[in-house]
Amino acid sequence: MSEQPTRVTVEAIVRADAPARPAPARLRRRWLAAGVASLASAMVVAIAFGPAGLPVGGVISELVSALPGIEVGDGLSDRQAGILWQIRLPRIVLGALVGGMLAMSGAAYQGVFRNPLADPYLLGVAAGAGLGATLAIAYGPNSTTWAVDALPLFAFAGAFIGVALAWAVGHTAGASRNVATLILAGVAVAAFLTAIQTFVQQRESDTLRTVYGWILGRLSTSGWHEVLLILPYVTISAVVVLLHRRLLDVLSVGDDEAGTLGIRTTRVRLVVVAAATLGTAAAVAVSGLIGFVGIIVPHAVRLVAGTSYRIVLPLSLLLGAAFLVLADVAARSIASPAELPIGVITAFFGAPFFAVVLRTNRRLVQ
Amino acid sequence: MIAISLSNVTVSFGDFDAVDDLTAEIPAGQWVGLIGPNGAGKTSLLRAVLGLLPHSGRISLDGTDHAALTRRDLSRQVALVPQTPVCPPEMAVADYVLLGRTPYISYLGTETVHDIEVVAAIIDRLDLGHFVRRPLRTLSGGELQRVVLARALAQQAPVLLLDEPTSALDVGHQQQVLELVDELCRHDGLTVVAAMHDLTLAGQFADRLLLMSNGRSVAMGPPADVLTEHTISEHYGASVRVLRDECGGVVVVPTRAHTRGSADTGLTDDTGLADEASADARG
Ligand SMILES: Nc1ncnc2c1ncn2[C@@H]1O[C@H](COP(=O)(O)OP(=O)(O)OP(=O)(O)O)[C@@H](O)[C@H]1O
Ligand SMILES: [Mg+2]
Repeated sequence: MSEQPTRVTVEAIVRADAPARPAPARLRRRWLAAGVASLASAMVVAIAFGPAGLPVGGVISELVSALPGIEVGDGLSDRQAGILWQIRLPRIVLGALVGGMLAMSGAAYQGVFRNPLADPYLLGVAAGAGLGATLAIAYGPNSTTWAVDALPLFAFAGAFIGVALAWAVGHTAGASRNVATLILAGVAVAAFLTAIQTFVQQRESDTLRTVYGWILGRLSTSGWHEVLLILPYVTISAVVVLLHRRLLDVLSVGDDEAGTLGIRTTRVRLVVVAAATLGTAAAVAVSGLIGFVGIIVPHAVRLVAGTSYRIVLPLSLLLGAAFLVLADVAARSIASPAELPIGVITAFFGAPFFAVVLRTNRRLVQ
Repeated sequence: MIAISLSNVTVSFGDFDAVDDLTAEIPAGQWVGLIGPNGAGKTSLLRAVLGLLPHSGRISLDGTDHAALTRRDLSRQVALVPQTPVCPPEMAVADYVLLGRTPYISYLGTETVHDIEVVAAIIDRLDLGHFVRRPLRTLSGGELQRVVLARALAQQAPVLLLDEPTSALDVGHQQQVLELVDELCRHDGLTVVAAMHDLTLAGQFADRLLLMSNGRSVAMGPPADVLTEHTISEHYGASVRVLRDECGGVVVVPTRAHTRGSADTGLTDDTGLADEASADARG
C-alpha cells in the first residue's frame, strides 16, 4: 500500500528532475492489474456458484473453445453449456456492467460536484426512474402483448426527464455558477417526482410488490437481451467519462481557478453529467435502484489507491463491476432457492466493508 | 508597451458597482501594486481581468481586446495566485503544479514530456524539489503559497496577478515570496499586478501603486506619491505616519492618536499629528 499518491506524473517529474535516478515502480499499473484481477476472480467465483454446479475444468475448456480458432473439446454437457451461456454468463456480465457503471458514475458525480456524498442517483435520476418504472408497472402495456419490455424504457426515460428537470430548475435559479443550487434543484425535483410515484403506487396497490422489488434492485436476465440493451449506452458513457479524467482533476481546484486555467467549467460539467446520467439511466433501467455502489466503491478506491480521477475513475469501473458480481452471488445463494434483492446485499455487505476500509486506512480522515 | 489596458471598466453585482468606471494602464514588465481598503474592488477587478466576472467597458491584454480571446487564450496570457486558493488536500505537489499546464493541453489530452520539463524547472527554481510527492494537506502555509505560485508560473503567462499573496505568511516568508516574484518581474519581464494590504511591502516592491476606493481608481503613480498620510487617512480611515527609509522607500506606520492614559478624551486631531510626523520624517 502506498503512502503517496500514485500518479505516474509524479514519477515522471522526479525523473525529469534527476535523470540519473532509476525509474521508480509504476504503482498505477499495479493497481490496474489488481482491478482487472479482482474483476476476473469475481467472475470466476460467480460462474462456479449457482443451483446447478458446473465443473470448473469444463467451464474453462468451454470458454477457451469459444475463442475463435481454439478447440479444446467439450467440457460440458449441452444442458450445462446452456446454463453457462444463457443463464449464468449473461447475468454476470450484466452485473459487471451495472456495477461498473454505477461506481464510475458515482465517482464522476463526486468530481463534477466536488461533493463526496454525490451519488449516481443525484439530480432526480432515481426518482425519475422510479416514477417511470411505477408507471410502466401500473399502466404500461402488458409485456406479453408488447414486443419489448416497457419497464426499462420507461425507467430510462424517467431518469432522463428527472435530470433534465433538475438542470432546468437549477439554471433558472442561476446554478451555472453555483453547484449547490443545482443539487438543491435536484432534491426538489426528486421530492416532487417521488410524490407522484407514491401516489400512483398507492392508487394501484396491487403493483406494490413489483414496484418495491424493482426499487430494491435486481439482476434478472432473459438471455443476453438486457446486456445488449444497455451495452451501447454504458460504453458511450464510460468512454466519455474516462476521457474527462484529467479535467475532473482540474475541476478539483474549484470553478474559478479551473476557469483561470482555461477550462470552461460549465461545459465540462454538462458533458460529464450527461454521460454519467446516460450510463446510470441505462443501468437503472435493467437493474432497478441498486444503492450504495456509487458511493462506497469510489471512496474505497480513494482510500486505498489515491484520489486523482485518473486513478479513481478506471478503478471504480473495475472494482464496482467486481463488487456487484460478488453481491449478486450472495443475493443468489444466501436464501437459495429464493433471491434477495441485490440492493439489500450491497448495503448489508458494503457498509461494514467500507467501515473496515475507513478504519484500516485513515489517510483521508483529517 | 501596455500589458493591460483598462478603460471605463465597471463590474456590477446587481445595482452595486464593485468596480466603477475604472481606467488605468499597466505597463509591460512592471510591478503594479493594487491597494485599497477592504471591499474597494481589488479582487473584483482582478477577476474581471481574468474573465471570471462580466464587465462593461474595455479590457485589453497586450493590445488584444478581451472579448476576442477564448478562455484558453486568456489563461495563456494571465495567471492568477488567488486570495484563498482551493487546494485538494490529497493532491501531490507535482500534480498540482502540473495543473498549471492545462492551458497548453488539448481538451481531452494529457501532459507531454515538455509540460513535465517546464514544471520540473519551475519546481527547481522555487526550491520545491524535496516535497514534490507530498500531498498538499501536509504543507505549511508558506510552502503552500510557493506551490500555488509555482502552479501560476507553470502557465507561462506574461502577466501574473497576485491577490494578497502574502497575507498568510510571516515576515520572512513574505519577503521570500515577494523577492521571488520581483526576480521574475526583473529577469523574465513578467508583468505583475499584486493586490496587497501591507502598504509598506507594497511600496517596497511595486514600481507603481494603483489605489482603489469604492470601486474607483483614486491614485496611480510611484509609491512615494501615492502613499501619503493624507490619502491613506482619507481612503482607509486610518491614522498613519509615512516615513522614509534610508534607501528612499516608504514606511507606513500605524499610529494611535492617544495614549492609554488619556483614552477617555477620545480622538485627537490626527491630521495635525500626521503633519507633524511627516515634517519629522522629511526633516
Ligand atoms: N458575488 C458578489 N455579490 C455581491 N457583491 C459582491 C460580490 N463579490 C464582491 N462583492 C462586493 O464587491 C465589493 C468589492 O469586493 P472585492 O472582493 O473586490 O473587494 P477587495 O478590494 O478585494 O476587498 P478585500 O481587501 O477585503 O479582499 C465588496 O463590497 C463586496 O461585498
Ligand atoms: Mg480581495
